[in-house]
Amino acid sequence: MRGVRRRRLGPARAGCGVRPTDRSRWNRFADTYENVAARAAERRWGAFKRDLFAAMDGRILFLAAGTGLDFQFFPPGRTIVGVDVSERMLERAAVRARGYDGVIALHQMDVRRLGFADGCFDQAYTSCTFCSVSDPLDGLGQLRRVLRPGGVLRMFEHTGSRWPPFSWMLHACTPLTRRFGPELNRPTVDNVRRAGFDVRRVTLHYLDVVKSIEARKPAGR
Amino acid sequence: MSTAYPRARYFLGDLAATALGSALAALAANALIPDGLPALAGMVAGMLAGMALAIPVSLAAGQFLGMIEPMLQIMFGCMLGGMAGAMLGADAGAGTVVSGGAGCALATCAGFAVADWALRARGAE
Repeated sequence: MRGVRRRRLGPARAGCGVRPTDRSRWNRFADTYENVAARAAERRWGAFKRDLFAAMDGRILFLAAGTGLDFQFFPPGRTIVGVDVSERMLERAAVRARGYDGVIALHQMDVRRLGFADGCFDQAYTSCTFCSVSDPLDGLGQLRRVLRPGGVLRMFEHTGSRWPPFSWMLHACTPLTRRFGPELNRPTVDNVRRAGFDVRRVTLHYLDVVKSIEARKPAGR
Repeated sequence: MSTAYPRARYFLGDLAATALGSALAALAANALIPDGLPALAGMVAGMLAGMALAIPVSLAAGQFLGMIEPMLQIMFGCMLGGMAGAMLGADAGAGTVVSGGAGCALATCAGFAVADWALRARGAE
């Protein structure tokens, strides 16, 4: 089950709307994304991501697959469902998915409108995703919905800082960086809690800005 | 692969990029900001000049070093470098200004390394 499955995005629902700008923005950025913003970061963060993805097991959802740069850090032999809002990003990801020693099935989908049944995944993974999702609580709520009770969410994210002067700088830079994608001042760990997950572990990789987050969907909810 | 590996590997690259940005910011602020301004106004003007210069330097360095870590250090280093350049005055030689900027970069990277260690040692939120 390889290749890109395009899912037509329907009309926006109240409070969970797909903003066309998200999709078109990442489509526009698909050609330059790797060289401008991602390739060097992947080299730098590769070891952390490999550690995070090493725990992949069961029915796995990988959110915001992008151009598939992260596939190189996946352990072999897994069956993974990847989604991304941009079909142009996914065209590139499909090439990398074919080189993976396992199965990666790609779907075009917005995180805020995941077209999967409730509780159908054991684990969900994100990689530098919730800096850019327009409505992070909606997206995290969707992840919580598609995870089974007790399912695990593991994230590699950059976030805002709680400590000045880093927090000041991240706030100052965000109006600029928001124009081409990420916001640098997101309280992602707090958002994960607010979305109803139990945060089990946060591992800091750089200051309190670059981090891995492990959370669990409470059993029975 | 040890997770300490990228940190050590990229320290010198971050330092070099920050030193470049900081020295350029010091030179620009020294050349553009007139002497005789009140000290606080000069510092603010130098800081703003440094921030403006930090954006293109961060984008260029980001191609090789990644975006977040070098960007934060370059931003801070350029702000300090711009302030130093503005405060040194027009009669300071280019070597002095560049050295001042590079010194700001060294202080910045050392400060970030200590803060990084302290925050990670302190533990997560």
